[in-house]
Amino acid sequence: MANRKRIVKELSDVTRSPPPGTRVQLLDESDVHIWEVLMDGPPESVYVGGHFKIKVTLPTDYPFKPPLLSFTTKIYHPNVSNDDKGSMCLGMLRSDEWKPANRISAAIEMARNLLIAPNADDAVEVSIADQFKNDRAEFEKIAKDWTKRYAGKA
Amino acid sequence: MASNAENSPNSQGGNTEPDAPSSQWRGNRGRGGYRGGRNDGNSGDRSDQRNGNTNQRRGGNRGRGNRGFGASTGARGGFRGGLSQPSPAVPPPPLAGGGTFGDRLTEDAAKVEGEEGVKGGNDAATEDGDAEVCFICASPVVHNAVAPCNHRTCHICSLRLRALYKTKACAHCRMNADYVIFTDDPEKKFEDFSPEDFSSSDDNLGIRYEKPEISEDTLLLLRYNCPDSTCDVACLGWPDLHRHVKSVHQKVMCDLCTRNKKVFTHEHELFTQAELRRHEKFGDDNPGASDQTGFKGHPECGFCRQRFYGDDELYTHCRDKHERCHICDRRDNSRRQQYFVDYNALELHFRKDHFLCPDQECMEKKFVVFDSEMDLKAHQLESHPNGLSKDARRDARRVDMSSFNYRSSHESERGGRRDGRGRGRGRGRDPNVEPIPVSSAQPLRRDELAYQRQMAIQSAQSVSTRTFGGQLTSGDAFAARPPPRAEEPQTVTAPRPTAPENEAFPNLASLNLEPQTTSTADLTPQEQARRLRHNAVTERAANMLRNDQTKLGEFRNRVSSYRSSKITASELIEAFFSLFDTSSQQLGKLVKELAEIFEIVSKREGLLKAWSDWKAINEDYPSLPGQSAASASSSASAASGSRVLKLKNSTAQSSRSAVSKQGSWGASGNQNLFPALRHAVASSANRAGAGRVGPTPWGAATASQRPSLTPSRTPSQQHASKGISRINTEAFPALPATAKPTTTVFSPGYGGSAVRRETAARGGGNNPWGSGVGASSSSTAGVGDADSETVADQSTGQKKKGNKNKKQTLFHFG
Repeated sequence: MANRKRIVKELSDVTRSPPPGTRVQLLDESDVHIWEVLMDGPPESVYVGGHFKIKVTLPTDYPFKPPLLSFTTKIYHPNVSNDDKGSMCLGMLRSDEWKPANRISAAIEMARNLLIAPNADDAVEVSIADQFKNDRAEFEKIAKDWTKRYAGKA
Repeated sequence: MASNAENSPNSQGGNTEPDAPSSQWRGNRGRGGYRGGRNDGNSGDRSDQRNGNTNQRRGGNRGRGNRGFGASTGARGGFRGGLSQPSPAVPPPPLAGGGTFGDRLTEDAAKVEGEEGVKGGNDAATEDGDAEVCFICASPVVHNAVAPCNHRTCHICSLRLRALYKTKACAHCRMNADYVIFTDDPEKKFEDFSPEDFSSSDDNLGIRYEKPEISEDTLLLLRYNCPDSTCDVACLGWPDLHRHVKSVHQKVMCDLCTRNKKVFTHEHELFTQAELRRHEKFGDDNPGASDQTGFKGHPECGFCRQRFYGDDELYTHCRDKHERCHICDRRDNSRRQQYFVDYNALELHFRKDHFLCPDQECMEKKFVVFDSEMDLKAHQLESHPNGLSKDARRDARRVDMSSFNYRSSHESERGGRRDGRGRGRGRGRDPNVEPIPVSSAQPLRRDELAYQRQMAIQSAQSVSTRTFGGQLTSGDAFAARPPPRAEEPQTVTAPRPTAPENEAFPNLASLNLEPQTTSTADLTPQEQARRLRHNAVTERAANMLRNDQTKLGEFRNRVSSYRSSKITASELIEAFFSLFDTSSQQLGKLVKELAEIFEIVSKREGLLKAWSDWKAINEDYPSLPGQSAASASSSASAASGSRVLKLKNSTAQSSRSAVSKQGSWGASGNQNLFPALRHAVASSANRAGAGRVGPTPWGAATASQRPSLTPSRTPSQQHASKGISRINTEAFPALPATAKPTTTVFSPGYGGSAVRRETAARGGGNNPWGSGVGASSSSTAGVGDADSETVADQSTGQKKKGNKNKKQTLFHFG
């Protein structure tokens, strides 16, 4: 399959110039299909001060199928499933919207942008989304609290 | 692939007269030339090549570096020639034989990405990645594919998308293209091509070829080429190819991959049988290897033992062929999906864990099942009012208020447990289940609330003094009364698995509350509940004594003597037998209810122990509790026993890992436990033996468990466990935990972890008891506690409440 070459290329690119506030490494040096992204909570978001780990899993037929993003650090966010998976699936990560030309760094950036501006209309956690829409203060309070509690240390 | 057939003779011809003709046309073709020219960044060179500088180009510059240069002279060259000849319009004599084609093809395809660079490097260092690389596959571009949006990819990626992924969308912008152009011109825009620029087109794939060679190269990819890198055979179809690899290479291909994997034929892998099994089970993941794919194996359906290509396929299969419990799904949709092998298994689950309408019609309709007894009663009142006697109807309208009292928010985390007593009786029934946070925290549906209110009002009106608190009424006639009635009105409750299991629950409810009473400041609900339970016991005793006040007084006396340690537990039991003129079954219930209201642990345990001792002595062959129900469930669990074995086997992997995380758990210990459990499930008839089993066997279980708690005691206890391990197997059948058809529960996943016991999934990480339970069985852990007060007390202090419940559960099986 064609994917290894592409993945290696992307990995070297993203390691050389990672999206702002992130660092990318392989979870296991020997497996290029699982990346670990360390993302600092964007300063303009409620997650500021947090350090989030995101696991990026590349399917066997990447880039023809989208990568899977999941937060291994617990995060209070309408678009991240609040379970042990912490999966994020929207926009370009959906298999019907995925384009082989998309790059993983773009996906990472998208995730970062979602931290800044959650997409409550396309949420996995409906209750959090409702809160985000209707009771922003409370949402921010919890999000900050969780950030402090779960994403405190780097 | 008509063109292939056409071509093969040509190739043969090419073979016969190797290089000369090929070089000629090659010049015309300019294909290698482009490549070379581009790489050099020198257009002059390019044109030069086009003019016929063939030899050099071929060797060094051709984009297809992968076509083994050294070998190119013979078959390769011939092949080339064959291909090219059509364009000069000199059809060579048609000769049979496709071997050459295959050769070129395979090499071509197999190495498209991997080796191009290498070979190119070898030859002339022209193929360096930067020159022109497909954005999608990061491999050097051989031919360009141009879409109407003027986005470009290499022809292989484009073909992959169109032929294998069946999408006409552009890889860059997802714009659908009815056709794309395969060209060697690196810049020419889509709209600048005119119909006469195309040598041929493939309407099926939606590809227009600028040159016949491109068409050849493209179509070659689509043939049934043998994946063996040294084999040049192209077969006629899958069966032919399978035969070929088997007979020639003594290898096999993965059937699932060949059917589903979106790769070209030659990109598939050849396996030996052993490799294939490994591939199916674990995938080809070979960390560090350059060819690793990240593939983790084909997931298996735990019921059918059939493997599927991926999770999606497995999901589809399970959705179509197996059943899910909509009630459980609704309760907790974040949990892993659990399937039941068929409706029968699901129905069993309904009976066991939910409230299935036993009405014939509803049974036929299927899926008439309710989350709570309340809902079931509502349904029955509404749909089958005639099936109930007048009394039963009245009873059915009554509401067990005690259940509502118990629900206070701060307890919600253990709600699943306590609910065993009341409204959500279906909810906490499974002793295997650790508290399910979501289930009881889930708010009542609006209609449920309304209905409850209505019911409460009705019962207040229709019944007199005894109305409030279901327990105040005499138990047996009271339909809504929680668990332990064996003689629950048939109409109301579907046959329940077994009495022991049911009986476990009232205890749970109480035990939950008592520690709370002391530990939390918020006493009110607990206090109330406690009173209710006291009343319930009194009520039951009174009922059994037919309201004979003298005898009731005697009963009270005896109990308080026991409480104040004036008499021993066994004396109390003896006294009961002289006092009550009922079956031991009835008495057992009373004893258990009585035991649970003792706040003093030692008293409670003493009483239960005495009771089980008595039973062990006096009832060698106790009848199965709850006849019909029991037999139904036991046969069912026996049936599923064999499945358990299988599932267990496949789970071994995952549970082992759970255990190893645990650290303190001896692997051997666990192994010992498993057979016991299996035995238990398979022969659930033994369950009746529960009563007989005295405290000693429990002790054995404790011993094997305890090391994890108190390592210092390990030696002696291990000794104990060795001695009694035989009894363990007998002891376990008594536990409803083992009989639970966790057996039929499985969730899709890869390989070994595909099937696991429900408990295992829930074993908590940091709570040794929780995870211990997951790894072996909840029953064991619980039993362990029962044996000595010290341990029990100790655990009371240190364990989470949920676990305590479990422990308590087990006291009452005797």
